[in-house]
Amino acid sequence: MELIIAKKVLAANDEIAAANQALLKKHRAFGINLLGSPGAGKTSLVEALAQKLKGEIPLSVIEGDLATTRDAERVEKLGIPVVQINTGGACHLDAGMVSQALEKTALPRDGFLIIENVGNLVCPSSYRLGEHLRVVILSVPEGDDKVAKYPTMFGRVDVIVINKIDLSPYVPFDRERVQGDIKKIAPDTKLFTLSAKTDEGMESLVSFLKAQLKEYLAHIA
Amino acid sequence: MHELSLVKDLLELARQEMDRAGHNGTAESLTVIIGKLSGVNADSFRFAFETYGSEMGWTKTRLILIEHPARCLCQNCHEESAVEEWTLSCPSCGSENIRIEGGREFRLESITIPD
Repeated sequence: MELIIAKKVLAANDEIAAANQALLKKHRAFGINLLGSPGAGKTSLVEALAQKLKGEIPLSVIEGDLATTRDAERVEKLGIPVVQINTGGACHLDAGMVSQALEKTALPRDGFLIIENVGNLVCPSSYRLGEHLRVVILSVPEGDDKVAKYPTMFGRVDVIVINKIDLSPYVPFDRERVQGDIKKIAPDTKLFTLSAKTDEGMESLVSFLKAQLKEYLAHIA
Repeated sequence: MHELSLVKDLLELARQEMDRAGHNGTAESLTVIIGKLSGVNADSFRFAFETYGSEMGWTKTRLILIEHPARCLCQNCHEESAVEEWTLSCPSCGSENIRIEGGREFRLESITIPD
């Protein structure tokens, strides 16, 4: 006998993700899933955003790593509430891990919850966590071929951030090539070019995020 | 390489659906649809199923994988082509003015259980 199922294999993950999103909505928090390779500058971007939003918009962070609490320590130094998830070797966060972390997280009312995913351009793209926005960072030293080489990741995000543009004079990186690939693989994606270190270009990302938050809060009010 | 955890998700879903149908035995086969752009590698997925699946007692269950292509819609020649992988230009006219749609699916389509 054949049972017709026609359900996503990740249906269970998606259900928990929906519950996470509902919890964020209840607390009026806007969730960001921050993705990118190891060393792309995910934690540096969190630090830069924390500086920019200080005193204006509250921020909480969930840090996902295979091991260590180093990233959480960096964020904690800035006075930002942070919860560390150690995946114990798993290459991505899933909605269940985030659900457990949310129990311990001080959710920022009318602010951002940034979930920094495990550094990886492959596996995390399959798992919804309950976020409202997916942001992937591509740093200049990684090379201008990454969008075309990891289309499953870049084709599934809302925002692409090109980071470390202060290193452009020292490493070959054809920005037009990247923009061309994005146009084909992720035509509806917003692109920001910046340096979290020097602050160049940060303002336009911050304005965009603030506008997203405003729209979200207006929508749930 | 997260196919192992995907197999775990698949088996949990299949178990849940069989329980719902009142069948507590094993399945004869599971039919899974994998979109070519879903990020799931069919060979790795099958390998993970064979190793983890048999460890979990699914030795007698056959895994049927159906791979779905994506569609490349060309804004230049208006040709719609089936594509097996991410492509940056139209297979028909070579134009780079394209849109890729579909191919992201990854679902458990059906379960066959003994009558």
